[in-house]
Amino acid sequence: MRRNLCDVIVTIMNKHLLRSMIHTLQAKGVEYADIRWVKRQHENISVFNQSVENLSHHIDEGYGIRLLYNGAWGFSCGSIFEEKAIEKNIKLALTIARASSAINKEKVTFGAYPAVHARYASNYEVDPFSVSLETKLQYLLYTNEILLQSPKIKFAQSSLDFYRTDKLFVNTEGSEIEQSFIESGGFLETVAVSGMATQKRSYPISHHSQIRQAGYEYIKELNFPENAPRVRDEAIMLLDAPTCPEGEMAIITDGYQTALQVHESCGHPVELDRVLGSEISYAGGSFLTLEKYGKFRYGSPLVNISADATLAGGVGSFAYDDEGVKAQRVELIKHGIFTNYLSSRETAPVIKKESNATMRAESWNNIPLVRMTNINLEPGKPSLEELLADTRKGLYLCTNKSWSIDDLRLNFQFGTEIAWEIKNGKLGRAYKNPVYHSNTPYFWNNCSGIANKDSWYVWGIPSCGKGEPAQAMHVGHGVSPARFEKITVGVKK
Amino acid sequence: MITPDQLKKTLLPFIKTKEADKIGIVFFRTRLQVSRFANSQVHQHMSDEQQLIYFRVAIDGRLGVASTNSFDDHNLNETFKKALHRAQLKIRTHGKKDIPFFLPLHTLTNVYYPETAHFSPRARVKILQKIFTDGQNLKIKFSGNFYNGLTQYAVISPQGKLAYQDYSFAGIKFIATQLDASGYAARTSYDINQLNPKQAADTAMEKCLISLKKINLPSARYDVILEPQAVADIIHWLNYIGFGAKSVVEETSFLHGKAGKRITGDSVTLYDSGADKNTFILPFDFEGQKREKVYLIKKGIAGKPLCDSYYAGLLKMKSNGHANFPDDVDGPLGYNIIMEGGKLPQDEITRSAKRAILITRFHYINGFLNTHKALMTGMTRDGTFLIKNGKIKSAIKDMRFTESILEAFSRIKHISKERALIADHLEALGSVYTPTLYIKDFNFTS
Repeated sequence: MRRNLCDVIVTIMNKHLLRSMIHTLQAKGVEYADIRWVKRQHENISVFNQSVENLSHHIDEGYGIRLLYNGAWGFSCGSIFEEKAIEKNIKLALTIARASSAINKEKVTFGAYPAVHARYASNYEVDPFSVSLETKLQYLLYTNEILLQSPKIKFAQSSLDFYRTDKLFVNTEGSEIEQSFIESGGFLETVAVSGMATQKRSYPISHHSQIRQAGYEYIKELNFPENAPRVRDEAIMLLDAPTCPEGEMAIITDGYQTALQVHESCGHPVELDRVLGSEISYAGGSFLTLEKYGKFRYGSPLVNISADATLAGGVGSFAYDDEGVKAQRVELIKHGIFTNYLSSRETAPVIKKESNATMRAESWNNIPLVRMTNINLEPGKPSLEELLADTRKGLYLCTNKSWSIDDLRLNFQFGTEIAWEIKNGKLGRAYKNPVYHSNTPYFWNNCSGIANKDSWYVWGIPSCGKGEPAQAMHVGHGVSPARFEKITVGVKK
Repeated sequence: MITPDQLKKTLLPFIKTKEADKIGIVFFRTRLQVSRFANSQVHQHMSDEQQLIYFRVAIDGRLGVASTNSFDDHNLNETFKKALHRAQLKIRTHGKKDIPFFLPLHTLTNVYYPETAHFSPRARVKILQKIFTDGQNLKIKFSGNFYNGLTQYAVISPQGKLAYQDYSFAGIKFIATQLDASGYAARTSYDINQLNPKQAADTAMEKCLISLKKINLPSARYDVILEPQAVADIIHWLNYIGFGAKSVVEETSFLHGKAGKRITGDSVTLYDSGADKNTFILPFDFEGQKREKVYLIKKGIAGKPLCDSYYAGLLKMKSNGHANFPDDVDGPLGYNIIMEGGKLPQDEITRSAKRAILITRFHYINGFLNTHKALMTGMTRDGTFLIKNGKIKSAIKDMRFTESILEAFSRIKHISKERALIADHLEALGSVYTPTLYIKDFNFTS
């Protein structure tokens, strides 16, 4: 397969500018500083029925200064690349750090890290921004035409999203890292209507685009026209399908639902900054408190979960994180035992480790936070067909519809668009409105099977929220469908 | 601050181009400073300044949108060309999009306080230091944020008219913690001097201290008293799944097919009003149309959905001025939702409760379970108490609810006279003005 390396568009001017800013900061006596220049492009094409709902393009560009002064952080940012504006922002970041430093009882310690000079570009075959808008629009209109072929389908939406991000990172340790990423994705959804009842089916995921670090070739791989008939027909079938039965039973979650399960019940609770209390004011803390580190039985021995920022095609992949630490693969859960956190240069020393490179900022005007990269459930042994065949009675739950979890990442409730009955190892009738709820350690300790590599797929979520101000991050999950025993399906009325 | 005259000088030349049928421009800018704290330390402290300039270009019913964050001439020109290129695509699709003309509203005043917009980092941390010390004396740590800033936005019509509005804002949020107990309080205002941080911190500490001992309640139906934050958490989801015209057109909204019919209790009146200063005003939408006061639910009867010009056309209505950002695919939504208050003072509602659960706020609500019934699930958080005979008897371990909000609202027993402004500028645009609600038989499922 031919691959084109993405050109890294970082001008000489930007490099000189950022280096000059770093020198200024060093002269002002900061303990540490980094500056990220980021330029982001986002194109969205969205078709609703046979109308163009959105045809937009967005570019933004700027720099963010993060500095440590007298043991406290300060951050300021700007999008005007002029001397006066830059001086003003440097002064502001220092003022902010001085203010915190005056009242904080504990000083931030930030160990040294060797300087890195690197360039990285994500792989792609076809630059999605070079593909004509006509081609993209025709593709979506054709997809919607297929979705709308039945009179019971009232609404069809299909959408494509393309991103390009160029970054330059410099810091007072002498690092200079250029990175460039191309991401592509899309989704379709359809609403079937009968009287006052509606049912929705989506592909490949719901609510937003499934994305990959890839070019337009990924859109061809998604193959909307091939999948649209199934999505349409299932939405219609669900109108007359019975409501999902309730009770305690075995469930097999499909790829996307497993990805979301991993995201909410593993990816977030292993963020070390969350464990240390940094996110109490927003999404909360974590049940994976420090005394559980290295010993807590998180899941059954079949469960192996890793964070891998080197995974090809994952939207959580990069060469260096936003602190200049090299991307790596880290085991988080090994044979069911909680083994590692996601950490940063500031948090890792608390567990006597070094950063495992998970500091990521949404853009130039955000501070980096400990974030998921690609959080992957390692594949198991049986094929999906064998896993199903091995299940006497249960449900196969497909495509997430709703999600809710508590502030420690324990008590959760998820709904999917469709459930298929599993009876004596075979898939039977479809059910509508399936919902299940459980508690994270119970759920993962009841994992009794994970499908093998044949079903392993890298999912990309574009909107993982964290931080105040809120940031949305692209995170990846490589997972296979998985089976869980004795899970409560349904809700008490 | 960027002035209206500067906006006109830079952006009006684009309106005059002959290459398109109509051109509209949207400008949105926020300047924000945040002192974020955890474990009574300011651990994230930042300044953010971000602006967006959107070009909307209409040619023969086709609309192209492109945006940038830069006022640089080259970037503006390139962005305009991208919008133009998109509008020029000659692909036949159904439906026409337009950029409506509008008469600009006068800029509303008494919503911008320079001291609030420019409150310094030093001044914020000085206030926090005192509160952290108070907490330390009670072995309490604080997490939260203290922010201030300003918002400016403007829309330029195809005729070259400019509508402009600005306002200052400030907010403070405390989560007081000790061991596994926590208590929450937050305040927000146009004027930082109205926040009363000490009162908020004291409320959070009081809730935390009561929560040091918690009991378990089995899942069942209980009467609940929802404080304004908890009501706002629910209303955000009602807005997202049902008040906007897109969900009505899709027929997934609880308003669909119900106009003029009873959908919930007759004590419930909810409306969106962009110029109501009990909320953070957005008097005109992102098409420049006046955000009309729209009754979404009036005395329990379904009202009209929130529309922009496009969705209004699909519903054969007139736009009521709720266009979202030009590239937002969620469609029109409410940004100034107000629930009408009742007659009873809040403390009397509590005193009237024989047995009820007092809920400070919810966490991670999801409203997609069944959007026709507004069936939602979520967790309680940071201050959940059992009230017995009008007094707090005990704190309760957090519980999950799964409930049809329309059905729950039909079981409202009391609505407080007092209402509170609820907004979080660190999370999203928009604000809600809500009372306290006493609801019977609210369903807790775990």
